[in-house]
Amino acid sequence: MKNSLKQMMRTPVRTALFLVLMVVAALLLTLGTCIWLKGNRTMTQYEDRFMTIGTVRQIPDSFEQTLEWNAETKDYDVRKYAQYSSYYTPENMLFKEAEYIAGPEQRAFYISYGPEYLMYNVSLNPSALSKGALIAEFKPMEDCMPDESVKIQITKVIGGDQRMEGVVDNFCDHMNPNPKMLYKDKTYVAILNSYLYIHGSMYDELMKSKNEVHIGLEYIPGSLGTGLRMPDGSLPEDAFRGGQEIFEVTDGFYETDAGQRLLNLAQSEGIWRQCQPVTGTNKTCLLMPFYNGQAYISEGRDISEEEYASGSKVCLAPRKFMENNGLSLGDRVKVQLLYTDARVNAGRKFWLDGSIGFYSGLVDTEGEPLQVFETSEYEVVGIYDVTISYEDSIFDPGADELIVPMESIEARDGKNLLASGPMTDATSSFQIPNGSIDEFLRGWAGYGTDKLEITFYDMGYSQLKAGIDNMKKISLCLFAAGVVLTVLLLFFFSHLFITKQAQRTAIERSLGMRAARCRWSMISGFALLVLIGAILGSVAGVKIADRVSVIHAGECYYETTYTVGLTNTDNEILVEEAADAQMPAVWNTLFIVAAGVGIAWVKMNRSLKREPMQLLSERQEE
Amino acid sequence: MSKIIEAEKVGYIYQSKYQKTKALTEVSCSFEQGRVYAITGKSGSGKSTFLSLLAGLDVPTEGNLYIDGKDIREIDRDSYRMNRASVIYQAFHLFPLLTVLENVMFPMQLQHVSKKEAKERAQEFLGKVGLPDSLYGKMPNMISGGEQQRVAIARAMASGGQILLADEPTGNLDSQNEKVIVDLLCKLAHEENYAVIVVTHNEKVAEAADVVYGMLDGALEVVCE
Repeated sequence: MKNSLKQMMRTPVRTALFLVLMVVAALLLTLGTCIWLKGNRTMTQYEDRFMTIGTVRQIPDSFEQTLEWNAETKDYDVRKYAQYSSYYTPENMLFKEAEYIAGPEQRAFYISYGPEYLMYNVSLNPSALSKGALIAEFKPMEDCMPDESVKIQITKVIGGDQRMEGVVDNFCDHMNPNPKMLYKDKTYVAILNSYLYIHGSMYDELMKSKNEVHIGLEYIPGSLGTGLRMPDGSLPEDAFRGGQEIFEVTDGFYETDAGQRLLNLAQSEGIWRQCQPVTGTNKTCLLMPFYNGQAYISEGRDISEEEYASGSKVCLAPRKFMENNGLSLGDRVKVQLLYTDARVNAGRKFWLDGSIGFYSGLVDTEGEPLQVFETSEYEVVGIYDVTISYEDSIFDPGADELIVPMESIEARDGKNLLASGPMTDATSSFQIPNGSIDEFLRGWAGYGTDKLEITFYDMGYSQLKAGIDNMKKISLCLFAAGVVLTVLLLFFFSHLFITKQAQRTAIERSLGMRAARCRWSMISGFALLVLIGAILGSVAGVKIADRVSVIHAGECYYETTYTVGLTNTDNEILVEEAADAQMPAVWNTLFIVAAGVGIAWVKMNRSLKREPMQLLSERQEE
Repeated sequence: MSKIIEAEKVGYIYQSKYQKTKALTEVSCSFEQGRVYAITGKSGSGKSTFLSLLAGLDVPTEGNLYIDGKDIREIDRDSYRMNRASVIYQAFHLFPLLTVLENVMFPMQLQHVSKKEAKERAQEFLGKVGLPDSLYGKMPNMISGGEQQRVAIARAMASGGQILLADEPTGNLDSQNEKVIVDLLCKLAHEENYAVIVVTHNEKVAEAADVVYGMLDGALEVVCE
């Protein structure tokens, strides 16, 4: 080998060129291999970290316009209501090509009555008056036409916050184009719903004041009709269906149907501050707040697949609720389901800022108060934190919202249904395998309806996959270039170093060197150069691949910061993984050396087959 | 003097895929140490083929060739070339990437002689062929043809064998160098007891030989002795 190397070193330019080109070839080969393998490994490792969720929204068939009197503008407001010929259900989304991991599901949320618990909105300001809605008797401060904001005094609270008795507040029969006079010597009773800001002469007077003024809200009368809805969204038959009502309190009024209904309605009024939402689902990640990182389990664990499937009485509870009530992981929460809302998600009624969206008409069609329809206890297996305070997005989680397995709710088909509606992005979702969005959409195009709009969220998986696929394509090119270059170089330089050295072989043979020694002498130097080039190139390839991975990881992080798909920790893992790609370099080195030795062996055999004397004589003639 | 090589009705047929060519026919002759033999003949007459057989690079297809009394088919021919017979060529065939000294050291390295000893002996052989010290470190392409051929002879001597086979050793040389090489070969035969077998067209070389064989269409005959 020494002799062989010595002779190679006597042609330093050729040898150096060969070495450099071998380094380049090995570098390309290793770089291609490493990037390809890293791409595959990254996708495999991150498969579980990403989730692809689709949300579903039914598009209205039409919009119905209704006119609503506005006492402030003295004109009718045009209100538009979406119309649906029928509601699509998750069953409408089951088709052959659909490979759902979870769902599709349409979630209702349930309102649990829990007087024994301190609810979030109360905890914020326990002494605050609950002015949202009342059923109360009142007197106008003077004879007036309530076609604009007028002053009334609440004389008796029948339903709602009793502390409101005696309070002077604002009132307007706002949506009635033909309001009736109110007389100060008469007592009236109505459902008083807190509505818009005051208007009319009261507002004008206030604005004349030079001092800073507080523009208050006004109460408007509510309907005595039942608030229940049919599952298809329609209203049940009810004798009290009609406009907002103001009743004069006369002797025996409470014996009348209207009076009786008011009393029944009053039983449920004001209970909202003792209620919390309960959402049933089939997988936590199907709830967008959890999916997009607005909520995360900070203590305990998630509800398991088995618990979801079997409908176990376990739940995830928000930390605020647990803290407010001195509860801890493993404790049981009493859940008394009173109402069902199948139209929106909990966050649209139980706001994170503590306010609550009220329902009205909490009696059945007979005017009887609605009763708790399901009572059970749920073990808290996980406590979750909410990272936002109030964003007013359609996906906001609800205050005090408990997450339970959908299957754990027996009466989940719409008992005491206060609202129903079509599938919306916030209430309807499903999970499919990562990277299968296109396939899903192709199947959906053949099966689905254009009335359902599907929006996909994949935490940047598609971006990452596209990036990695691009890198893999590049790596394939690098690999192919490396293989081609390696083979070409080995053939070309083995020609220079071996075939063209047939004379040397012939001389060695004529000097008595054995064929095997000739072969070793010739191949060893060549193989050593190939080995050095392969090692240097492979090491460089690994280093560059590491660098590429680190840069790519950085790009991924930058592009997906809005998701929880990749966190800082994940990036660190990527960086660590980048340093773990030695094996391909070893295999590539072995491959290159084996190819080099193989090619050299074949060429050397050809040289050895030639009769030395004949060969040397030929050259002599040359 | 003892016969170092003896050919007995040696024949050789080149066998290619498509045809057979008879290169040698019943060649019988013998070679002794201390003498210079010249084998003359036209191109294609079979001279080089015979030399190849004498060098042990191939074996006769017919007849027998004995080296030191042993059939060449039965001896280790690689070892024979390494230790007993050396070939020098018209085109010198030195290793172009080794220095003059390294070229001469090469056969000894094959014999696992230590580097130091090989160097000393190589210098001795180079001295014997009359090559000045200043050329030892030069590459073969930097010295003249006559000098290259002297290096080739020194390398042949370095193998330690007493059989020196030369294929047109003066073919590429001018008359001055030709004389030097012929004298050197004769000196090796007569003073160092080598058996020198020279294949040549050159009449001057043939004239200097002790025995001249003529080869015609693969057959060998003694021209003069």
